[in-house]
This record gives sequence, structure tokens and C-alpha cells, in this order.
Amino acid sequence: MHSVVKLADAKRSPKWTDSQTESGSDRRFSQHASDLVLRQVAKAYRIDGKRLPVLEDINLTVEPGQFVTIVGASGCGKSTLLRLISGLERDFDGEILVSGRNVTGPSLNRGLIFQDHRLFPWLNVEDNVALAFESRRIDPADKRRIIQEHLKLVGLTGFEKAFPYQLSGGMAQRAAIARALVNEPEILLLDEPLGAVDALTRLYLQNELQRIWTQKGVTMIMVTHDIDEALFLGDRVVVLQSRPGRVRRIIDVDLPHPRDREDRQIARLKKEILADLAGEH
Amino acid sequence: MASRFSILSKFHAVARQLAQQRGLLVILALLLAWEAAVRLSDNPALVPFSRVFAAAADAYREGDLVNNYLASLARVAVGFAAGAAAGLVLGALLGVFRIVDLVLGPLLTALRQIPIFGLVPLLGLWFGIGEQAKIVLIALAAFYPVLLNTHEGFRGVPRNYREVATILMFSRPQLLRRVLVPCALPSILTGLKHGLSFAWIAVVAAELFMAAAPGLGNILQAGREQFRIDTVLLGIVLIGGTGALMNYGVTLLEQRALRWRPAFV
Repeated sequence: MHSVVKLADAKRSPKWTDSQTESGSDRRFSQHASDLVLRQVAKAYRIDGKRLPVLEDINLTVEPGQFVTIVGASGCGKSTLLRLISGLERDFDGEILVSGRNVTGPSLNRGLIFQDHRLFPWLNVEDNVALAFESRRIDPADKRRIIQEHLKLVGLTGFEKAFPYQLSGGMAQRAAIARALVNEPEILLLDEPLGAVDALTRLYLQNELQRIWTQKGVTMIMVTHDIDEALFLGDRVVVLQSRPGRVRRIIDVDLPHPRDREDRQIARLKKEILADLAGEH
Repeated sequence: MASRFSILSKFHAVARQLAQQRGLLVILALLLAWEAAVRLSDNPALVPFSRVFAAAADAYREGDLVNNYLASLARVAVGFAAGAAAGLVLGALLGVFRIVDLVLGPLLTALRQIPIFGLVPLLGLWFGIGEQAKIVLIALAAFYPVLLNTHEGFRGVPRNYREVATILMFSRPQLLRRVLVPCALPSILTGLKHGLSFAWIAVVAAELFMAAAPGLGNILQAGREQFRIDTVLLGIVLIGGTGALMNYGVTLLEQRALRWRPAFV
């Protein structure tokens, strides 16, 4: 546990970003996290020939290993933004760069977790996670080992043979997280992953996500409509305003992880964000 | 004391077995009621159920029962295999490729409106009234339920699952094998089940309406010509029983293949 905390500290210190290439102990970060830049990103749908802007003028830079949360009212295009970054939707204006390279489609380097777990009901947990290896060549023994490691990471050891209908919502979502992580993506995109679980499971899984984030050193970008969640997890909180979705402001939350949910600074920031978003209704 | 317990537990075990088979018990009770009702009346048009066994014994002795039965089974096997295979392939193409659906969908929908037995005269002209025409009729009967349900199954694959495949960089064959086929499988199996039922109905129809040849239809015809109600009933029982067994077989297959669905556990 001690080393995990140290890693988390290292990640926030600017010194780490400068010295990442020379410091041997930080190599896993340079391997497993890369930076993401969004420049003038805009997206519009066409409905009955009319242009309906969903996102406009989105500019954002995400440092390697950061936890960025995106909050906004429903319909502000926050899910669309993740779909653009993931490469699921390729039709947009502006530039999305991962480590300096344009995103033109999906990549195993960018994992995506949906609000619904989207496990395949006809496969058990283990086989669902194994799907992530379908499109690459991998030694079967390595495959089994990596799956085991990740089921352990998300706390599902012993549930390898369970079918999705036998899992609770929270467990299914953890299996989905394992499926998204086995390929060691540099960026993990989470689209309201805890939106469909009950309040208690939600708090628990927030802690779990934070633990997984510190353990894996992966860049996480999470969309949520829950301001508490956004402030509890995010190094930076991007507040989106609706119709069309634009960046209202970006808040740097300069508090160490794991955070105190009752922290006064968090309470103050929550009030500000609420005021930002309340102006829209 | 111990032996009394074991007798009691045996009794319970038997009772439990009977409770599980209550569907069969209803059939048994009906057969008994039939037997009793016929024996109590003296209408010559009614025969007791036990006479059906006698008819079966007669037919078996004369050597044509097994031949007739196997002939029908062979016919349904060939016709169903051909019709189901065509239905599976075409249904999958319609469901997977939108262009195929756009081009062929309306034609198939129009053809589907023609009752299958309305095609018998046409099949007679094209294929004669022999074995070939029978097989074509059976294949057509199996074809449509398999086609429709396969099409429905592939078309109904949620976009959500396709997106998972996209994110995980599946190739098209991987998408087909890992997502589309397993997702469509429940519907495909429903189609096969209905297709098999329809094929079995078509076998009997073909054997009755087309040229005489060995088959269960032959038993029915012979019974009618000789005014042997017991022989006719034997034919009906064999047709019904075999149909039920086929259905049961496909259901077992379904339970095995779909054990991931809570309803099947």
C-alpha cells in the first residue's frame, strides 16, 4: 500500500513529468500513459437536414496518468466527447491527438467503458474478458495469467465461470473494467460507469476506481453527472455547458488522493460548479 | 424403523417423479378415459385405444410399419436439411448485409404470403408427383420459419454489442463468430424448431396429396381404404408422437446451447 501512495504522489509532482524518461522506477508510467490533446473539437448531427451542434470549440490537454472528470447536465454532449476520443465516431471537426498522433479510429491503446457493462450474456466472466485479446496474437498461457491478474485487480477472483446474469450490477461493471484494462491501454475512457449502480456500490466502486488508477498508472477520463464523484476522483474537473456542449471551465483540484469527501475545499468547489450549471435551467 | 423410513422416502421419491411428469399423466388419463368411454358405448365408429396397439402389431407383422416409418423419417431429414440450410444462409445474408435485405426482402415477403400447400399443383407440374416433389415441398415448409427467424436474429443484434466489437478491434469474421452468431442463436434455434414442425406436417401432407409411396401417409391411406379406424389412429399417434419427440429433441439442444440465459437454468 505504501508504494501505491508514493506512486500517486509522484504522479502529481511536476518533477515527475520532467524526469520520467530518465527515472527507472517511473518507466511504467511512460509505457502506460500518454498525453491527449483536443484542439477546436466540434461535432454536429444532422437531423432532417438541419445541423444540430452537439459539441463546439472543445480544447483540452490531459497529462499522462491524470484523472480527468467531465461533468455536465444530460444532453451536454459529454458522452459524445468520449465516443470521439475512443474513435467510435470518426466524423468530427478539429483535432484529437494521442501522443501527438491523430485519432482516426479505435485502438487497443484507448479502452472504453460504457454505462451499461456490455458484457456478452452468452459468455462467462473469463471469456468476456478474453474477448479483449481477440484481435491480437497472444500466448495462451500469458492470456490466462493476464486475465487472472486483472480479475484479481477488480476483485472478481472466483467468479471466472459466472455468467453475467449471475452478477450484480457492480460486479458486472468490474468485469467490464477488467475487459478494458487487460490490453494495458494508455488511456481509459469511462462513460458514466457508475451511473447504473446503487448509491452504496457507487461509493465503493469510486474507491475501487481510484485504487485501480493508482495501481495501473493509466490516464483516466471519466464522464459523470455526479459532481461529488467528479470532485472526489478528478485531478481536473471539466465542466461542460449544454446545447451546444462547450467547456464552461476547468478546475484543477489540488488535493491528494484518496480524498476526504467532506473536505471544505471540495464543498466549496461543488457549490461553484452547481452555480455554473444552475445558470442553464 | 429404518426400513419404514426408507419405504417412506421411496414413496416420496416416486411421488416427486410423478409430479415432475404431470404433463404425461394428463395424456395417460385422457387415454384411459377414451378407453372407458368407448367400452361403455357401442358406436362402431369408435374403437378403444388398446386396438391401436393391436393395429401396430398387425402392421409390424406384415412388415411395412418399420419401412413406412423410416421412409417418412428419411424424407423429413433430407427435406428439412435442405430447407433449413437454405434458410440459415439466406437469413444470415439478409440480416447481416442491409443491401441483400433491400434487394431480396420485398420478394421474399411477397412469396411468403402464398400458403405452402397452394404450391402443390405447381410443384406437381415442375417436379412431378414423385419423391422429388415431396422433398421440395418439405424443404419449402422448413425454409420460411428458419429464414424469418434467422433474419430476425441477425437484425436484432443490439448496436451496443457491435460497438464493443468495434472498440476491441474485431475483424468482420470475428464480429460474425463472436457477436452476431451467438447473439442471433436463440432466434435461430426457434426457427429450426418451427421449421422442423412445419417440415413434419409437410411430410404427411406430401404423402397424402402426392403419389403413393412408403410413409406414414401410406398407413393413413390404407387405413381409410380398408375402413380400419385403428390403423388410421395408429398413423395419427405415430405422427403426433414423433412430432413431439422432435420438438423435445430441439428443446434439449436449445437448453444446452442457451444455458447462459437465466430462463433456461
